[in-house]
Amino acid sequence: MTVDNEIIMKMEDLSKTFLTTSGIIRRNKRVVVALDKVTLDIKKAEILGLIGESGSGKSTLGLAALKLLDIDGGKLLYRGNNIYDLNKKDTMNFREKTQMIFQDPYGSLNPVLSVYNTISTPYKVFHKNANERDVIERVLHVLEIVGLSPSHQYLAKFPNQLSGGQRQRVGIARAIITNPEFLVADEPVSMLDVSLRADILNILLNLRKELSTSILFISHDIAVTQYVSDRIAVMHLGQIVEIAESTELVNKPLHPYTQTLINSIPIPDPEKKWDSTEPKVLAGEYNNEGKNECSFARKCPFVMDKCRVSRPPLIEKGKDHYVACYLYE
Amino acid sequence: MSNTLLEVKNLKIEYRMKDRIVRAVRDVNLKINKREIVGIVGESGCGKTTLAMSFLKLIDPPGYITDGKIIFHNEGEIDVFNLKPSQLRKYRWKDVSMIFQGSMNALNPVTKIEEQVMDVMLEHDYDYETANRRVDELLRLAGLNPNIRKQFPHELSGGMKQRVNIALSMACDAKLVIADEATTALDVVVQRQIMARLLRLRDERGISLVFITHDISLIANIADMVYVMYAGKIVESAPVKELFSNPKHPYTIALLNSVPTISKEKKIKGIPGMPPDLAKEMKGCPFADRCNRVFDKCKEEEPPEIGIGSNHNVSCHLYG
Repeated sequence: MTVDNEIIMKMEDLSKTFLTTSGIIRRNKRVVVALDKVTLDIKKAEILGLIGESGSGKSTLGLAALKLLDIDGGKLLYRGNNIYDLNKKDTMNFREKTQMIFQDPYGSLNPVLSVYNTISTPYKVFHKNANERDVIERVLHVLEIVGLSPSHQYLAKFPNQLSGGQRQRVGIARAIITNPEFLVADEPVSMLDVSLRADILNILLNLRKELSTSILFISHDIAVTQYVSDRIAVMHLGQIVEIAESTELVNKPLHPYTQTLINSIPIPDPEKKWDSTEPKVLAGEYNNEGKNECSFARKCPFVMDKCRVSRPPLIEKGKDHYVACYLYE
Repeated sequence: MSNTLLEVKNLKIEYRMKDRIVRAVRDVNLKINKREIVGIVGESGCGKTTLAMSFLKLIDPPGYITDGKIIFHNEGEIDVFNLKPSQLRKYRWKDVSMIFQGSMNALNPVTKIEEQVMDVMLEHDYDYETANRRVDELLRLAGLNPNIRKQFPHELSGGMKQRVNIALSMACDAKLVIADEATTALDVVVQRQIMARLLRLRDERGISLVFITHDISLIANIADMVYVMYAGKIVESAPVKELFSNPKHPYTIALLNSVPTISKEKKIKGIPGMPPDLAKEMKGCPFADRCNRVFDKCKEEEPPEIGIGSNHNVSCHLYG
């Protein structure tokens, strides 16, 4: 698949910190750095995979990329404009061109809205003068794209009459009806049965092929991510620690964290059976309070003094392969 | 002395709801050998958790065991379903223990870790001194620092809580440990660590493990013997290498074709349709509606289990 080199979304030093409080009088404050100067760009018709463990800030990045939360610092350039500086009218325009596919097919559909109402609502928001016939045409069209066919049979159904896989398809149909250029898919298959996942992934691949949609694909499942993505970015405690073309990342991981991650993935091949050696990580506890150190330093088996006092920058190591680690300086 | 540790024979379990009867386990036979790791793989709603619960006779109304038995071989045969309540209490945890699904929430939030671990041992004839001493040993066995014994569950991370559950399952030297989706909610690195720990326990203590999951890749990496479950039945069983290199049942083949893998490039395909409703009367093969090689007989007659090689059984008319 060819990916244009045109960059449609550019993130520069995106930062977001959450402050949590606990205790009866809320005096125990804790800082959680969810995004720590994230710089990333997404090209036209590219599927960029974003992997990392839970709590690494993947979802926060997805939300920030859609201006669904306020950021503390940095810029988010969509076609050259910082979306956090847009006025109301331009923001609406941005909303039309960007959409989200959610993780939970059960929680993300309104149970009292029919499939038709669910899917047509975003379209009507942006096409206030559209006549009903055009809207129906459009809804039928997107239902066919997501493989709910014959589409007219689904219009009057309600979410409780659909299976998990079908609901997720409705969620995708709702996201693509405004013809977006950029989609964020946050763990779109993690709640589906394995036998249903493949079809949803193939729909996403098709969207990119037919409509040149760019997708930020967030997942913790590396095999799934590699299947759909052109490039993969690895996130760890709010920082991007490695980015590379998907096969390259999986076959030649450079960052010690990526290596641990890749080595821990089960491969459906009994010839590669696991033994009782545990992955090599130190037993340290992470800190995500934004200290000036490498995010993996406390668990890294190759840790050096330098890693504990300053943060390694992302450097290019091989073609389009970036890694943030002092081992490769 | 035979090598068999536990046998499930013609097991049938149903849930009697107000308006319908859900047949969650429909005639399951399986055998677990000593030191063996058995994987049971299936999609949600195929009855795998119900099957797991039955190993400990943890089926409560509206669930009923309607037929079949489970025999545990240990200095004689134990018929699990016929144990008296007092015997059942001893059997649970001492012979067979379990790591529950979502077991991160299986710990009591208001008692310290050490109390929970000791509680299990005190219930099973350990005196206080020994139990107290064993806590450190068990936590270490599960790869935890014994210092956490004074802590409460909320002070531990998900992976650590899962390890506490492993420690609990080993507390009375159970010979068989049932792990029901024990690592599904964890990150891959933590999952890998916990698997390594369980494999080591098998090597060092000679325990058997039953691993229940929907993740067929994980099964490939740890199991010796695999049972594929669909709509309450075992549709195929084989040693792990045989199952992955020579799958026979169309469902197994489709399942293997639906998971992406990082080692080779392939186009993955979903399985069309949905699993059958277990509350409906079933005629013929349960997979017939989704099968790409279906023929007339499949809709009429339920396929019997057919042996097609050493230890390889399949329930499919294609091989009958």
